[in-house]
Amino acid sequence: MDTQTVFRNLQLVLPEIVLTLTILAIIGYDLFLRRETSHRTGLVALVGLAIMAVFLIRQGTTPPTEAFMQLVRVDAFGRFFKFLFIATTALIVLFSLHSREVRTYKSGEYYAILLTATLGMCFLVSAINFLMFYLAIETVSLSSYVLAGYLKRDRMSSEAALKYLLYGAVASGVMLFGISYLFGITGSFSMAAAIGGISTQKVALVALLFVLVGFAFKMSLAPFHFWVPDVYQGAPTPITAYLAVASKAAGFGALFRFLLPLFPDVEIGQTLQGVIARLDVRPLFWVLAVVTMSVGNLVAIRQRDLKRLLAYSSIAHAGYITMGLAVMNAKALEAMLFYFVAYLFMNLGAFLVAMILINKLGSSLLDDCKGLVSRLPFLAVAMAVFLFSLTGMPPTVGFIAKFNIFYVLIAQGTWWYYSLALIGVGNTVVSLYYYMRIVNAMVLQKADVERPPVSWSPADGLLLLVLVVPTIVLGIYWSPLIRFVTVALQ
Amino acid sequence: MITLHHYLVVAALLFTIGIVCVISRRNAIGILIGIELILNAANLNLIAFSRYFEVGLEGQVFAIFVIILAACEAAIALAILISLFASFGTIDVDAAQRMKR
Repeated sequence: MDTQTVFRNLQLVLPEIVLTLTILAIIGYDLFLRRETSHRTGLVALVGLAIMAVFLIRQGTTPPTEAFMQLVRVDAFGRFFKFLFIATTALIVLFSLHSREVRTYKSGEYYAILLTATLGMCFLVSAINFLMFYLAIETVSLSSYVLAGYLKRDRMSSEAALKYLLYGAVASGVMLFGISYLFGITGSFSMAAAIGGISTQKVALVALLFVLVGFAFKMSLAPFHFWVPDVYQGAPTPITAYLAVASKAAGFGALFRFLLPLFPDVEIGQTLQGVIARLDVRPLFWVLAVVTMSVGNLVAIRQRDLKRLLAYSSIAHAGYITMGLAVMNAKALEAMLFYFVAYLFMNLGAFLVAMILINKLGSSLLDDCKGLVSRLPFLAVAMAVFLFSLTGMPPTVGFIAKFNIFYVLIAQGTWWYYSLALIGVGNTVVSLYYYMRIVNAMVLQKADVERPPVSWSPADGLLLLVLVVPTIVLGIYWSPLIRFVTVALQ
Repeated sequence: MITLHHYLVVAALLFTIGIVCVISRRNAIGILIGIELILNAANLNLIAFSRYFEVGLEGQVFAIFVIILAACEAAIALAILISLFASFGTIDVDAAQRMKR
């Protein structure tokens, strides 16, 4: 590569460069701060994310380009996910600034590591080469392990970090072993070539399964979901929300990127020419979707801790999204991308409520939520909205998202997909039960013992409003969101 | 004469030993060593394929990256283990079960 090419390539990753500089700025600024003032680095993070968003928007007109000797591909599809990550990370930074758990520790490194994870995710969704892909996924994982164990004096947080690390390292090791076989079969690390190789050589299916373990771990698909409840319960609540939304979206985004050549009517990312021997992996995802959502929903019923319950609910949602992969066409991809945006608002909202509860009451047990409506009425109402949306009831964005997925299934018109849709509806009914149990505890039940009233700060209300309003408004007027999604597929 | 198959068999064995190690060990350090075995099995595959198919140095370069990342992972793992030891007084993974299943 000559100097000119290098500069042209660097321009394509300007948003990521901004993010890297922000991380360095945070680390530098943190040196001058004491523990009480170290949360100011969070503001630096917000500014950096805003500048990154500006650069990303300015990039909007560039045609899809492959950069750095086919390591990354910069296109609208990747930009969609990057916008998603920026929005999530910015909200998580706001959560963290407001979280009592995080504020008890020096938080300069916290924000630096948080943004490093985001940087990894940005590269993960644009990687088209396994080397880049592996580096990016490890950047995300290693940062997440540290973040999960950030509350050093908290036993549950240490335990969460240990479990996440051990399971995560094994999953990525298995995936790497699969990648090494794919390299042997195709002679290159190109992801498109790997799909081509799998399509022509059936032996490669084994390697594909190994690689899928790594993806399934990140996306928390059963049977690789067992780390989710423990890690989500023990990690600091803002980090739980981050893992549930951004990390999961990154896993799905990378998997979409990997499988795009198998989507018959999607034109983006087709670096693969000639090899269109269709490999049918749809039955695999059919099974994964059914198992994942059933496991998530059925185990959620018995949970007594709000964070743990939301962890199982997030597994179930990964299952709903995977139903789209069982269809595998452009409409399904659109529905899945739509779901991510909806999921961002409603799930971050539910975790925000859990965080505020922990701030105020020091616990996230369902029993402690009893009679919340009389003590913190706005919080209880906001939680009800998020839970209605997670169930998929109108007029919330969750309904539209779920409707889109089911519509795609029904449109396929075979009993195979009708039955999947039926199982999905059955699962929704089950989820209604445990979501409504929370609402029931908050609104209808009386507290066992008289508890002192809780003070309410304007920041709580403002943060909740930022998430409640889109959850409802996008449920009534969703065409801007559809436009946002269709742009990603051009 | 050592052929590609020899390397592949050794790598597959290493991988299996690594997985068994991860499943059977209860000491966190033991599990980490199992993970290292898995990573090195992959490395061996990468280098063997790269050498015998003569596709350039891609496999070797990938292996170097894997080694670096394994070192990062070990550093972070040990940091987490120290914090675990500080709160539980042990690094036995069965002892660190405070959250109910």
